[in-house]
Amino acid sequence: MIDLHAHVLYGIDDGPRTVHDTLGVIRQAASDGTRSIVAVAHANDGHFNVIPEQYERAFEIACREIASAGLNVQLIPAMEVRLGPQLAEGYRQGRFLAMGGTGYFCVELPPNDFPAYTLDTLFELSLEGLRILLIHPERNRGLRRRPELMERLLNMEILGVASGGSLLGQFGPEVQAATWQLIEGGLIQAVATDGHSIAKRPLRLSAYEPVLSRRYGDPVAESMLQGVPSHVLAGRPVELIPHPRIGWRRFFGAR
Amino acid sequence: MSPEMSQLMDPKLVVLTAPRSVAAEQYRALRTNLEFMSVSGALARIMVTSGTPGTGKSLTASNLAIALAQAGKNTLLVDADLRRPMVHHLFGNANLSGLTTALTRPDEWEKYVQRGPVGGLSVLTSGPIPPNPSELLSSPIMMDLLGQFSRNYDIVIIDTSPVVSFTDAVALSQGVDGVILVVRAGHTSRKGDLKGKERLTQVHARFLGVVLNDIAMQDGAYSYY
Ligand SMILES: Nc1ncnc2c1ncn2[C@@H]1O[C@H](COP(=O)(O)OP(=O)(O)O)[C@@H](O)[C@H]1O
Ligand SMILES: [Fe+2]
Ligand SMILES: [Mg+2]
Repeated sequence: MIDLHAHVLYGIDDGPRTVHDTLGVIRQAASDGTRSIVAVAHANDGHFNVIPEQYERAFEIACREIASAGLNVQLIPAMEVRLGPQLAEGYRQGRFLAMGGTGYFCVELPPNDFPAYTLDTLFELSLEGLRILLIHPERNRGLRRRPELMERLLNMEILGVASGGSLLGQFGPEVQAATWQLIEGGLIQAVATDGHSIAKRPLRLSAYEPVLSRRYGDPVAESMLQGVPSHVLAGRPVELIPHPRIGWRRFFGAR
Repeated sequence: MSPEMSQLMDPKLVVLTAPRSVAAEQYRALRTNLEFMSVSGALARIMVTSGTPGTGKSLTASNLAIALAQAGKNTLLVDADLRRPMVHHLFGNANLSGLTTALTRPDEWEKYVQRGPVGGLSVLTSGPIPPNPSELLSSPIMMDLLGQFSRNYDIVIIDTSPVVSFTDAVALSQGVDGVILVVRAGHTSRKGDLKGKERLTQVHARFLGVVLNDIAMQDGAYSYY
């Protein structure tokens, strides 16, 4: 499996604190069958403002430690960049890193509102030749209050990645309900762990498979945990195609 | 056409994939008709639209553009359907940049034009989708770009969104020399077709004719004027 979003580098955000923490979460992921992890770190969010040099150093150290521990897990570099009005400019200046060589760029909305400049900013970023990956959109209150915004994001071909914890109700019933809505609407087409630590926010992707399978069937679960993530890592676009089970709408999945 | 190219391309681009088919012949007939009409006034920018969605605009625009290029015209195909862009799918092109990029960086618009599958055909895919397509498409920059396109090419074919659902094509019609309306037999509502035509007539678009795209005939496009 591929984890499109987890905090596994130590000492740069609210993820692991020490090298032992890092190896712990990587072992957890590996034993769960995860082979590739997009190793994000918070940037531009006020608390954690990782800069590229700092990120790259932490990334290299983690890769070295993983290799010398003999763990067969590949890390892909990426920042989880908090939305702000100047993202495209920041990207042009080299302050933010996209996801490895994939051309995808991870944007996190602020938790409480959906700023008026959001769509324009995302468009500006896409004009830089980037595809936007919206990280846990189900946790954004603005989007939950104004469902019509989902349609606008969809029209812009923006792809959402849910946090597995949202599916299980870890962020409350409102976020959980929003997750189903955004999946059924087609915005969310992949699930990642958003893992931070072994216990509280674990890196166990397989935990989300039963609930996805039960609601939408095995092929959908497979698509969200494996198919779409592998498309993203390959730098290919992910398109909506009709799905008989969700039927009335559109479906996630790759061509 | 190289084997890799035909793999990426949609087989429904019959002018290339099945040049001897009846459908391909009909696209070439459409080309001849346009050449004939342009005698009575320059037809450098031609917009392809419809009343309702899914009538075959993109296929018509793309096949027509190929046929024009094959006849030696230096042709540009522009995907101005920012609601449901299809040209990059049909031709197997990337779409990380395109018309919308050109609109935001008009000084370097030529950079975003891609080579088509036949000599003489250039393609400008839609580019990233903006939050508000009609605003971009009706902007003075768009009108100016259309002018620049026709300075560099013999003929520009513009694929658009349907007229009844969006104002985009009506705005674009103000920057082109002629409009082709695509209807689909047994598929589109007659009312939608008429309403589309009416909207365009209201803004005095030069109406070139109707393409009847009839899949019941199994062999694609048929045109009449
Ligand atoms: N003559 C035809 N024969 C077979 N399929 C067709 C024909 N015309 C259109 N289609 C199919 O119908 C769908 C809509 O065509 P498209 O050209 O994308 O329409 P539009 O641009 O008007 O939305 C596509 O799947 C296309 O392949
Ligand atoms: Fe995160
Ligand atoms: Mg179309």
